[in-house]
This record gives sequence, structure tokens and C-alpha cells, in this order.
Amino acid sequence: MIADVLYNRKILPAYYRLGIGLKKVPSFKPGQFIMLRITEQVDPLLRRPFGVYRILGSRVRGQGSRVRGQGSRVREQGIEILYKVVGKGTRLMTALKPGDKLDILGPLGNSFELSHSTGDIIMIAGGIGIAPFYLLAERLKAEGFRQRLLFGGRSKDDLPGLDDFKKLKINIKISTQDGSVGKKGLVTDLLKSELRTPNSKLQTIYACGPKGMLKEVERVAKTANAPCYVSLDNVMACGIGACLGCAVKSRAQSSELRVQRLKGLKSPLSALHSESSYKMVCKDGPVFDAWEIEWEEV
Amino acid sequence: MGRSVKKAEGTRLKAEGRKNKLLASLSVNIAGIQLKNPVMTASGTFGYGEEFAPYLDLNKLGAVIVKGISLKPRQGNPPPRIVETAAGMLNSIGLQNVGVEVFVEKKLPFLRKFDTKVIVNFFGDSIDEYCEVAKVLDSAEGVAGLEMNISCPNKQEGWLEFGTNPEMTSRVVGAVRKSTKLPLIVKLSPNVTDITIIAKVAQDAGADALSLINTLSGMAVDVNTRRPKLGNIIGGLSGPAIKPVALKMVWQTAKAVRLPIIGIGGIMTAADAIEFMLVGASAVQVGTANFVDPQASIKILEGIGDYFKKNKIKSVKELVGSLRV
Repeated sequence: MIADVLYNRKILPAYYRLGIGLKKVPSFKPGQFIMLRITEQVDPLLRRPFGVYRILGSRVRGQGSRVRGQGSRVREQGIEILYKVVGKGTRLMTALKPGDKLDILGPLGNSFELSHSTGDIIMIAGGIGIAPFYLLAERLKAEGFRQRLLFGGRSKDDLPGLDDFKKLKINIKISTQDGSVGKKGLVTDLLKSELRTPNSKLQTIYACGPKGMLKEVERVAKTANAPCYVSLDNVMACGIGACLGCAVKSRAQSSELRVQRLKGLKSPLSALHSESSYKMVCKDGPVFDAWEIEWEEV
Repeated sequence: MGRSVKKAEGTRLKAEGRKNKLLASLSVNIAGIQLKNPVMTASGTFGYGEEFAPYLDLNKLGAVIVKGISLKPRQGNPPPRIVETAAGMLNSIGLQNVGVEVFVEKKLPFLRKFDTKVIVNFFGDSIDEYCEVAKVLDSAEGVAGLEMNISCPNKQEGWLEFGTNPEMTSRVVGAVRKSTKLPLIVKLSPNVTDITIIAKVAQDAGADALSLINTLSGMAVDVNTRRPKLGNIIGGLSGPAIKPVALKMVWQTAKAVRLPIIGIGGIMTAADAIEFMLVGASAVQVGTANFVDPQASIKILEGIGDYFKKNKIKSVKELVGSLRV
């Protein structure tokens, strides 16, 4: 799908917001992603996966564009992604200007299933791992869920999009490793204290961030016997389940065991380890039941 | 009004006739498989076809070559399995596949619905395994031909890759030849001293066609962690970076054997594909480009059609090997 750059704004020293204009906006579910190609050149060769952060034009925005001379209000229609400059591809992206052409593939992958959401929702994000949560937070709010966001980064410069979440008026707790804002420490420490707080209701955890953080989230969630879903990131070539490049090791589980666990019942861990196999982040994910992943191999 | 409808219908039929004539000029026969055009999708880059069906019309393709199949399902290698390199990518997927049984039961029926040729890429850990897979596929409905991947190690005899040793190539191709009546394409490894030696051996052992090249062996290192970037340490390089190497090997091989050759290696555009045909390939396989653009194979096919029209080329035969040296 050919698209236009609407805007490309630096929001923090290493983070950008990219507005992508689409003639027709497909229906994106929270957690889904796109594969983006920014050039016809062969280096960089492959598309890059990006979670869809916001849908543009779904409602009138404060600075909606106005076509001069026509006097009618035209909404920018499309999607917004957040990206962090980490390598060759994202460095090239920083040079994108309004009107530049892009090639996107999507929506791809599965999504956060609200049918899995029981009790209160805890979203936990590390740095750019915030990307899939804006659409989710919007949905959760619309459906009347009680939600909290635990958002952590190295410093105050690693909390992209924080203001957007503040505008949603949801409960937010922040941590930074250097203590420049919020509680000093790791975001997983916030999760531990959240789960220690007496709460009669079951809490469902959604997590996205660096692999080390996700491993710890899974461990904490398991200890608390809380359902936990993670959105994984991985190097991908195709994004459509063909190259088998974005493999993660998963534990095989019977659907019966899954249901038991979703109901909050304890099942013997040994039964979960019956047979392992590789799952593809692009097609089977990016959202996985955390219990499904062999974390030792991530 | 009835007359104008008739007239419109006549115009449509004429246009269709012209279109069919153009398509006819792109048809080519490889190893006894009549292809409507010379564009195939390379094994391992097109899944089992179904992954790409939402993005392109499979009916348009000359052939679909599916992900390499083995006797038993294979899990594949530990991640990371892919890494991008300059104008290319390294992969160490490890031949993950569903196994021949599931392939025939669950994957083949979908592909049978399309008007394209299904060529099944396959491999084994031993000569016996190669033969067994070939036998199963021989009796499966809807398989137009087989493509043998000989770039895998012989686990029974010192783990040496079949396709890097002329004697082992001869034995494995000869044995598979006796196990199937289907057209047999042998896919050659470029990781050899002289590819024409292996090509001739495969020809003498009964191959009907050769496809080349498979990926070039390579690796990449992360200087910060001092670790290899692939879980398997080494992998196979593909993409535009390998095209010059592949072209040279196709050119050399085309001069050395009488078998039809299918050119593979970094084809991203119609011009790339035509380069391969000029040096002697009767057909081409589009590989890594499918990852970059799921419609790449169709765009390349259309580009070849335009080139034929522009240069008044009437048949694929006319172009193949017409390099001016």
C-alpha cells in the first residue's frame, strides 16, 4: 500500500512520531503492526516492523489540517507510528518529509484480545515498548475497563508519548533508572509493588518492552498467578509468516490447560512443558500468552 | 444496444486474444514442465503459497516452488535466524518444515486450486530419506515436478554437504532419479570450487534441469557483544548482494551442460531476471524480493512482458543465452 508522510516530528532526542496518510484506513486492532519500506533502494533491503500507535482521522483533532481556499475542514486520515532511532533503517527515517512516499504492508499479526482481559488491566511498557498501548488504552477506556499504565525508561528522555496517555486520563505510574522522573528504578519494581497491593480482583497484565524486562514481568506475573500477555519484537524479513525468520520458542500447551489458567486455576507446570515448538512473532504474535514462551531461550 | 454490446464483446475478445498471444510468447518448457511464463518463486521465500495468496494472484505465476520438505517435520534452528547485511540478508532458518505427510494432506490441496505449476523442493539427511520423500511426492496429486536441495549435510557419512562433493552428488541424484518419474530439478550449491563439475555430475546422474544458485555461505558478527548475529553462527546469504556471483555461475554452467537452467540469486527487477536469461537461464526464481514486496514476482513478470514487447521478442527461447560476447 503506497502512503504519504504527513509529518515526522522529533519528540525526544532519540524518538520520533511519524504520521502516515492513507487513502483508506484499514481497521487496525490494538497490538497489530505494519511492515514499512521507506525507499526503493536495496540497502537497507528489508521492511521494518512497527506497531501502530494511533489512528489518525478517527476523530476531529485539535490541529486538524485545513485545505486553504476551500474553507472545509479536512481530517488527516491514516496512522501514526512511534519510532526510536536504533540503526540504519530508522536513521534514514528521520529524514522523511511531508509528502514523501512510503510503502506499507498491514495490518499484520494478532492483537490484544479484550476477551482475555479479566479484572483490572495493568499495562507495563519499557521505552519504545509503549507503541502498541495507545490503541489498547483507548479501547479499554471505551469498554469501561479499569486500567493502569506502568511506564519505565532509562531516563525522562525514554518515555515517548507520555503526554498522550496523560490526556486519556488513565492511572499512570512512572519509573526511570536514573530517577530523572518518577520512581527511581526498574518498571518491573513498580509491577511488583502493584501486585503486592491487596486487590480482591484478578489483574491482567499486558507488557511490551526490552526482552530483559519482559522476562522479569513474566516471572513476577507467574508468581502472582496473574494472566500475562506480552507483545514481542523481533527481526523480520517478510512479516507475513513465510520466511520463518522471527521464530520464538514456545511451550506446547493443551487448550484445556490454557482455559484453566485463564480462569485463574493453577495447573501443574510440568504439563505445560509437554512439547515445544517455534512460533512466528509476525503471524502467531506479536502478542503471546507469556506462559507460552520459553523465556530461557529468548 | 444489442449490437453495441456485441461489438464491445468482440473488442474484448480481440484484446484477450492479443493478451493470450503475448502470454504465449512467455511460455517455456523446463524439464518437461510446461510453464505459462518463466517466473517462479524460490523455495523458502514463498512459504507454501498460501501466505502470499492475499497479496497476489497465484494463477499468474509460472510455478510456485514451496518451502523445502523433508520426511519428518523439522523444528528449524534456534533464533536469531535472520540478519540484514549490505544489500542482502543472512538466514539460518534450519529447513523448518511441516514434513511431507502434512504437506501432502494440508498444504498441497490449497495449491491445487490454482492454475500454476507446483514444484516441490525437498531434501533429506541421507540418500534413503531423499528417496522416500521423492516416492511420497511422486504419488501425490498436483505435483508438477521436484526440486532437490543438495546443499544439506549427509548425516550418515561425515556430515559433508551432498552438493559439495561430486561423488555424493552423483549417488544421491542417481538414487532419487530411480525413485520418481516426476521431472527432477537439482538445485546447486554455490559453495564449491567449480560449480560446472557438480552440474555435469547431476546431469549424468539423471537430472532434467538445474537451478542455481542456492545461498552463499556467510556470517555476521556483533562487535558490541562479540557474538555471532545468527543463532546458528553461520547462514546463507541472499539478495541483490549475490546477483553478480549467481550470474557468473549460471553463465558458466549454461556453457557446460545441455540441461535447461533456472537462474536464482538476488533478482529484484525484470532487468535482473532478463540478465539471467541472457546468460543462459531458461527461467528464473524470485526469492528474497518476495520478502521485500509480496508482489515482486508479478511485477517482475509484467516487466519481462514489457521488455519482450518493446524488443519484439517472440519467445523465451529467442532470448535465452543470447549474450553478445
